[in-house]
Amino acid sequence: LTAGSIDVEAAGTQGEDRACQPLELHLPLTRASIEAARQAVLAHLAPATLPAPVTYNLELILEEVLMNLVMHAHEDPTGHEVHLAVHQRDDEVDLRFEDDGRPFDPTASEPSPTAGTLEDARIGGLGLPLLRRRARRLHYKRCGGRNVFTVTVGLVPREAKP
Amino acid sequence: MEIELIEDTEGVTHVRLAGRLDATGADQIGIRLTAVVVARGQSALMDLSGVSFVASLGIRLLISCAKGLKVKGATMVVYGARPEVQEVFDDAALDQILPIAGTHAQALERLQG
Repeated sequence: LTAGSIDVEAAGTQGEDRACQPLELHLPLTRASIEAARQAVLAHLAPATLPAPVTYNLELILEEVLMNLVMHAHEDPTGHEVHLAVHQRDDEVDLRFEDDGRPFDPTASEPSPTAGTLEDARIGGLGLPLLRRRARRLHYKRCGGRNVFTVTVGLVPREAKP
Repeated sequence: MEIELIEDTEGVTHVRLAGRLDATGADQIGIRLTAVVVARGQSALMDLSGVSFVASLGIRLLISCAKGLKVKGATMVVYGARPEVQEVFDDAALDQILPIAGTHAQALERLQG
């Protein structure tokens, strides 16, 4: 990982304890950061030996949130960063995204209605609805001119949603 | 992310995608997929059995191809999605937008039906 810093504990810590330490990443707002974040987060949570559907969920949520920030947080994201903190406790993990982009509350916007037909389908607008379905909880606050968005993801295969 | 043109016969383009259809994958294959599928202007079957991951940008690419073909009076059917990929399609209600089939034979049926 060339972009940003990863805060890992001192060598010698047992694997089980390792995932209890928060992981902190400072990533430039670029598409390349999505892959960097994916690898760092999965490596961090590796001691928890997550079931494949949970890994998929985490990857999907990371991609949707980061892609949304890269595309919409700034007119030009060059030089801007997102701060990602990953904190695991019990059977869930918090992914906390902090950015200095325009105010955006992902918990406030209404889910877009399903298109119904190919003619009506919009190209886009799929990320947030997916995020809502895949996350256990979403929390947003605007704090000191920054968006702080926390997505809580279950570490057991997700409960069926209607 | 890879695209393979399996065959191009009887007015049907048949392609296979393999890899991660995430933002990076969609970027990698977007232009080529459009060139292979949409530019031919005939109905298409898309084998997704080699796709291990899909996110919204990947779905966006599929919708964009299907729309491109629709304008030309052709249909695109995707098939063979792995369960974890199918789950994302279900969450996005993709089946309301484009035909999704289980097998190649079922996909062909959807095209002919």
